[in-house]
Amino acid sequence: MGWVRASVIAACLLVCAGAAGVSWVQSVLRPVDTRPVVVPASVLAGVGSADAKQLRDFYAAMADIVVRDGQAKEPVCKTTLDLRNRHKAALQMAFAMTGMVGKYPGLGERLDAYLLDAIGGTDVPLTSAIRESASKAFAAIR
Amino acid sequence: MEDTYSPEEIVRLYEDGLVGSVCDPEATARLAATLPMPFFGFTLHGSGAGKLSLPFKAVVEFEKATGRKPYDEAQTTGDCVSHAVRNAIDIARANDPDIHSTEDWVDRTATEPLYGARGHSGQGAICSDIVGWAHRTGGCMLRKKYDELGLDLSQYNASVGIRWGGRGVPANVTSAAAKHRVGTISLIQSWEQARDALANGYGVLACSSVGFQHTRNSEGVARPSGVWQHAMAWTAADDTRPGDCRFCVQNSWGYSWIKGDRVHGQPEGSFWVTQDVAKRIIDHGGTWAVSNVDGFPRRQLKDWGAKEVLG
Repeated sequence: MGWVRASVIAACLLVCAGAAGVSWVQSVLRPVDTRPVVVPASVLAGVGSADAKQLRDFYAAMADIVVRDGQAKEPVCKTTLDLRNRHKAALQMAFAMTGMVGKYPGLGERLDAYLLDAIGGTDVPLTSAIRESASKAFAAIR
Repeated sequence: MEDTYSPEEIVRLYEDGLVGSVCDPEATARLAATLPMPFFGFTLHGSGAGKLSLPFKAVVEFEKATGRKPYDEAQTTGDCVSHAVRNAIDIARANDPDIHSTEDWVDRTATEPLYGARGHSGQGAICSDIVGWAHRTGGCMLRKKYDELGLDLSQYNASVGIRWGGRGVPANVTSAAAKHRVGTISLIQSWEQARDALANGYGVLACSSVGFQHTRNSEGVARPSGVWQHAMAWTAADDTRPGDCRFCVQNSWGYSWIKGDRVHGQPEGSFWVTQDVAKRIIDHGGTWAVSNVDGFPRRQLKDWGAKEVLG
């Protein structure tokens, strides 16, 4: 079933990338130190290795997209609330019907707490600095 | 048939005498009589002296962060007063100290409710009527969809304000706008007051009949030419030249109506006026300072949606 999940994740991320008008293949992540990122050592604790890989791949793609969306002429996500809502929709598309939903009690809560801490809990315009910060936060989920 | 035109036609109409703004001394006096601070105060006197004050920069920053091109809305009807009031309000909002803590920019202010408050179905508006509505009756609404009101203000649509002119702004829209009133409006009576207002991050709008050339010189200045019954916002003051304080005037005719050099990062569509011209404009009696807008509280994200999806 791994390839099915991977396909679903890829499909949903392609939707996001396509909507953002960005190329899918290249990575343009750049190291920045705009905000300290709390490494979520325990976020994926207890998650099976195959499922953890799916989540890791998902968030690696999110890390890539959030930066490149900001380089688009008309970014899809303009505020952190936009990003939060797209993140939720992408999670739904990637993991619904995969058996992951409800499989690991507290996993979603831990992810939310981590993202609130790392990216923030206030709706603000997605400046390039905040995009870089969010990208680092997503990429650190591993 | 609604009175909407292309931006190019609008420029020609103003040049040919379209009355977009009216400085009505009686209306101004009536409004001033109701204000706690009808005239710009002495407490800030001199605070902008000798300074270069560029409050438009905060607006430009917010506009870019929300994916918009600063000051790109070009009038398609004689609603210049609503654009001028909006641009002044946005200067005040963007420079409000609370914007960095408890309040949020969200998006630029919408012009349609302001124009809809003019009280008649024709074109143009009395300046004091519109700025007074934003202060006493209505207030600010933003460029966004108001699903609860069945109202889409996310893109400039002059037809909305045109329609409301005759019958008034709907009560539910007025109520929504009134949550974000312009707390203080004061009449500007001198160029020094305009300078001091801008130096403190207040918005300034000016209604007059002074027209201008369509070119800027090497210092970004456009010289007076012709008659425009027009309202425009002032977005910066440069008092670094002794005896010639200059003001950046933001027009609402888009970017292409004027060409020439720009200075101090002034936005597209704007030009500078010299102190003597500023005085001529202010002498029309339709220059207002706006401040203390009841802003938009920052929204809090209670989560990032993962628990709802994954459990």
